[in-house]
Amino acid sequence: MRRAVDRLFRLGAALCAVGSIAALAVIVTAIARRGAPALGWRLLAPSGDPESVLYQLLGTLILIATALAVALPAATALALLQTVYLAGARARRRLALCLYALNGVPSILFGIFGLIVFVKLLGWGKSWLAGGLLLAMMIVPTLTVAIAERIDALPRKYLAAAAGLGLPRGRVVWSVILPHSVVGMISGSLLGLGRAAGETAPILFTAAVFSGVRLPDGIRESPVLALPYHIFVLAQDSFDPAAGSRLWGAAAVLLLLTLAASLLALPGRLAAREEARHG
Amino acid sequence: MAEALRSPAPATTVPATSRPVILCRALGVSAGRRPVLRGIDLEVPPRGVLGILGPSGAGKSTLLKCLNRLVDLEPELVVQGRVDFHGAPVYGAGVDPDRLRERIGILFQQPAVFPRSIYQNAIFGVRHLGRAPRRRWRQIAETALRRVHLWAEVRDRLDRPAAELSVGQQQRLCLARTLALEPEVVLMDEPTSALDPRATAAIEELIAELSARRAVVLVTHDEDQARRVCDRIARLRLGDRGGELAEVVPNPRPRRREEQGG
Repeated sequence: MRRAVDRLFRLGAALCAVGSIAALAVIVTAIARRGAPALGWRLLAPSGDPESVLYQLLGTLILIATALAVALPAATALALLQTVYLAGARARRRLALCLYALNGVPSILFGIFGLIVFVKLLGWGKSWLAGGLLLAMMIVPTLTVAIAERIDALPRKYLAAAAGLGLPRGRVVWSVILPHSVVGMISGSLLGLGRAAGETAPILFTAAVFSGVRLPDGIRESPVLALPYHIFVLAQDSFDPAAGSRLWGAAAVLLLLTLAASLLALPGRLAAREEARHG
Repeated sequence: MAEALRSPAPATTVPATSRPVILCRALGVSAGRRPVLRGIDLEVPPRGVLGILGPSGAGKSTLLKCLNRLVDLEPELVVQGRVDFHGAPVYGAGVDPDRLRERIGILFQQPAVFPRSIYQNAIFGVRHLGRAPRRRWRQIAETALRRVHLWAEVRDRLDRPAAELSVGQQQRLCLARTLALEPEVVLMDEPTSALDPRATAAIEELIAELSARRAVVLVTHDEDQARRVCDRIARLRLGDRGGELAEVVPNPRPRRREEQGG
């Protein structure tokens, strides 16, 4: 009976894994098959070509860079608070609960929050900074959990050895914990980047427009073009055959962007993991 | 005397006095309502090796960690009684536990080399505590590695990962890292239990050399090792209310050539 349950469990787990991989394969194949004909240097033409998504790509990169620049230090601080500085298990659990709750907030609510606070209350209007900050708020939980898990996996003997040498806690954090956490930072950043690059709802009211701008030149009333918003608008224009081609081209560029980020981070991730293992 | 623990200046010499460098009086430790140690009266002389022997669960390692307040890292443990270092209470108000641990170094059962190079490990404490300018790090690393007889084995591969060393070499590297900070007392928590007989002999040789100039407190479960290297042996026994001190006895051991030389 126990072996049958075990087999059933293994079968279920395998099916889940195959299902996840198959879903990913279907999505990637569909985008690649339909988007590939549209791919070409025309997509990155500086101006004039309606197929070009250069400024959408640059706008997305600005939003992602802003989000990561804000979220990474904030998430590192939160992860240290959770794993090192908070004394009681109850306080740690409460912080973790808050992070999971934040992670579960629907993205449209972040958009509405940004509309009320950044666009109206602070009077920024549509601004790349508002979009970047909202995306940062969205990815902070994912980043924090990734870094905190990495810190939790740090062998206690390193902490005891550093403390045994007389290093104050701040120096232990700086010299032992943070170098060890680099892998978590990279993994969390990639997960966050993937989410931030594809989110439309938070930037819908706060940061993105469909056309008429190139690069931002300030904070107030400085919207950007962004790939997810571009795809969102084109997808609504389904009766225009030309829009379909542009839509799949933009989707392929977005897919390539996340893939490129993963590949670019891979050597650093492997080196950090190797260093954590061997020094 | 309390100023001694607050002073930022690193200590480099051991005062030539017979007064105990560490003194425990009625030391007790409990984990919640469970007693771990009780009623420990112990003196650590400024030179020589004090061995701590006892059965598993008698609190040997906990006793060791009480001496340099490493026990603070385990918040569930509560310390009662008194521990003095150079006559000043270790658990007194205003005492900097980090400064105390710098002066009372510790070597653990399992070597804990950081995932860095041999050189970076040797200067880890000196570097991160800012105890010497960068231009002196090489010299400090070499001196520390020579003192643990590791220099000849690693001088050509200082930039290689410390994890590539054998376990015995790693333990000597950990000792070098501790000695680079010139501690007055070195606590050792079963430092040879993970080593083969040859590496064990090397560490025992080092303990004998170190004890000529500073106090060494050695926790061991190996009666023969205690007889070989210790000047005095404190035996703990497991009582009804935690570990307690059974006896402290002198252990005359044959003087080694290097000790006779000075």
